[in-house]
Amino acid sequence: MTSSKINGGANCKADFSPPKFASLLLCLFLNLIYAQNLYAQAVNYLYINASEGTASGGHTALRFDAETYHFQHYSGGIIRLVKQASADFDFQYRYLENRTLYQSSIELDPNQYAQLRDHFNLRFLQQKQQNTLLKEIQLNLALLEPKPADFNTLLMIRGAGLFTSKSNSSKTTTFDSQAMNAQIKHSLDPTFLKQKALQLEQKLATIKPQRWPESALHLSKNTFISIPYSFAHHYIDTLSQLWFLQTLENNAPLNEAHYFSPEHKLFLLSDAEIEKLTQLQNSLIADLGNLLNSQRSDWGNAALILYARIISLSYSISSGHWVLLDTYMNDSPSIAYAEIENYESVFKTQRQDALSAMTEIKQQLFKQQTLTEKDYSHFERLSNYYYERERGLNKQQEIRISGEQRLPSKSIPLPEHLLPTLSPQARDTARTRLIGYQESLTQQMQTLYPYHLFTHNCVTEIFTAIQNAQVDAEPLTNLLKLIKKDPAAFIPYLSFADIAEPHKQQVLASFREQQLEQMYAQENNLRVYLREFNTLSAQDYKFNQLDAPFLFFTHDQVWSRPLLGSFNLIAAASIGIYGGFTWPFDSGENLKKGMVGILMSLPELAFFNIRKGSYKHLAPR
Amino acid sequence: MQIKSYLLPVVVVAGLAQGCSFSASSGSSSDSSKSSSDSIISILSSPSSSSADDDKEYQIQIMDYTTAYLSIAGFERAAYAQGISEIATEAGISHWEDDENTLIGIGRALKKAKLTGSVYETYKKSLADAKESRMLIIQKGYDQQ
Repeated sequence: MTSSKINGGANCKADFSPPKFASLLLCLFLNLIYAQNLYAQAVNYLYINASEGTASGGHTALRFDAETYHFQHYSGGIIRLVKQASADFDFQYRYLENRTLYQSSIELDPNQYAQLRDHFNLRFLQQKQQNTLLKEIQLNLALLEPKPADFNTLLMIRGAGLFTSKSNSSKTTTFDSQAMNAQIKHSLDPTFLKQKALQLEQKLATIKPQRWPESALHLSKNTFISIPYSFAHHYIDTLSQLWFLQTLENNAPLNEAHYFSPEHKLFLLSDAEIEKLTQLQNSLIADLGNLLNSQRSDWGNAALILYARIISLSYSISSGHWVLLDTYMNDSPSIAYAEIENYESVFKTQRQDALSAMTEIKQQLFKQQTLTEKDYSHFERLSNYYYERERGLNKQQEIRISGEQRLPSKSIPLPEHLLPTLSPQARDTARTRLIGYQESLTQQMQTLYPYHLFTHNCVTEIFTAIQNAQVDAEPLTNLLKLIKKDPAAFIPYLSFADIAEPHKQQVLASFREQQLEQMYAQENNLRVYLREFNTLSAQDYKFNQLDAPFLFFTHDQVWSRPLLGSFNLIAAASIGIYGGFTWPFDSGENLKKGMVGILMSLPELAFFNIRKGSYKHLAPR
Repeated sequence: MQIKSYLLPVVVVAGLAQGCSFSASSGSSSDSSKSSSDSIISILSSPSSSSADDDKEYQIQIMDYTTAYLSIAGFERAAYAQGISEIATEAGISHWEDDENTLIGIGRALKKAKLTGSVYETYKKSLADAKESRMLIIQKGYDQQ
């Protein structure tokens, strides 16, 4: 947390001589008054400089320590508040997009800081909830009239993909879940599974689409709405519960595609570690028993995941080697090996970093008195990140570059024979009603959160939100005054320039700036300059499809910018001309790149730089 | 940081070219309530960051969400639980109903929402499914806030 002392406390030296006793008391009194304001907390206004791609005109954000809030423009003409971990935000903008961040710190007392942060967080939660409501409508429409694509995106049983109905696989001969399955069944009443399944089947037949409460259909900027427990959610939740009971009853084995055991010695388990894992397993078995009697509507999904984890722990305990579940999301983005070859050193560094972090985390994990599910999940997630790189590099296959989670959630498409049976009339009525809700809510969202280049953009919305927070703080009042004075303050750069002067400023260097600084410090300056000023020989930069082709970096070249920019312009124009010939074969891809390249090069002729050159994959440091 | 007047038109044109970040997907990852310590980037850069800090952040997420939910006139348990499940799943907790940090977060929210007396007791009992052990932890969170 950024803290700094406010120069407001009284400076006193203790002097116990009788005549000065009164002044000492006064000093103590003043210190008591100032004690609550002794430490200020800084909220940081960020300006992210221009670059090619989204937010080419720059972007702004408000940072509260480890949380960063910013307004993002969505399709449909909407602007919404989003929240990101500051580390992720920096990695995206400073590292991958190679932009410089300029930070201006506004110091507030802890109460004011908390009030402002709570206001932004509440607005984020309110808007997120409203977006979830729209997703709920999509889910219900999909269940009533499914399209093929819906079975891979919406109509799914989460956790069911961790198991398979096939019992004759190669791995399952090594790993047997029979004993654990019997132990769990034994802990239940002998008739429990059959009775529960019967109850759920009866319940499933009674679930019908209902009208949604009016209160959920009227949105406002300052209200947190309740999402109705809809027909689709109720139906899929109940099916998931039945699916779990069947999985347990049939002793379905874990799907061998969704667990792994890395060869590295870090994943070997000592007797003491096995004992700790056994304790955790026992605690999870008790949790599973409680879940089966829970009031939670989504206990089916949770039970599938918990049961899979209990079985994987059995495998670890019996083999003495860690067996972990694949926690990547179903639709995790991946890259082909051809691309991995280009970035081999980056992925090797990522693998090594993960291994070092896991070594430290494993030590901490087993030092604890008891191992919690949350801590185990943390290790399992990082193991997924590591193993994905290890497997991809060794077996020369694709790597999923993100999407590892703390809990596995392998889903299966909802089997078509399990879709609800409704009369055509009931289906039509429900569908018409939902379409009405969808139209009304979409319209309300567009009215409440309209995006406008001048009046409702990432800058204006931040300052409107600060104003609406009504925090009684002089620094914020002054900030708003500075912004109101400038009619052009809706431009990210100018808004920052307006408020920067009275506040403490900091420049957070982009990835390339950091690399260059390091290179200049360690190597011959002329050699570094000649190697790094162009894209053909620059050490870390590799052409990627996110950038229109260019020859020279101009961000750090002021006087030579027009000259280098003109070469960039010629290069982009050449690509454009070439694209004119190839467009029937490449759907206009080269032509588009050439045009974007020209657009990015033109400002360079007037000493202005937009393009920075982006990095597709990096090892975060 | 003053801008040169002759550069202003260029800055304005660039600013207007495409201001602010655009997200093509309405379900972007930014919609998640993930804690900052949950980021892989954070973990790799400081693997030894304490589990206690992680727990505290998780409690805050539960508290923030519960406080927001308590502002609704009709508190609907099933809908509320869906949101808690989402936060708990992201934190790696499958059975959150008996999880200490979840219950402490709920207790802190009841205090933050300024619930007292019989109203507080009713919510506490309802959110704990009337289970004594859970009510005790909710009370601990309430007293902590």
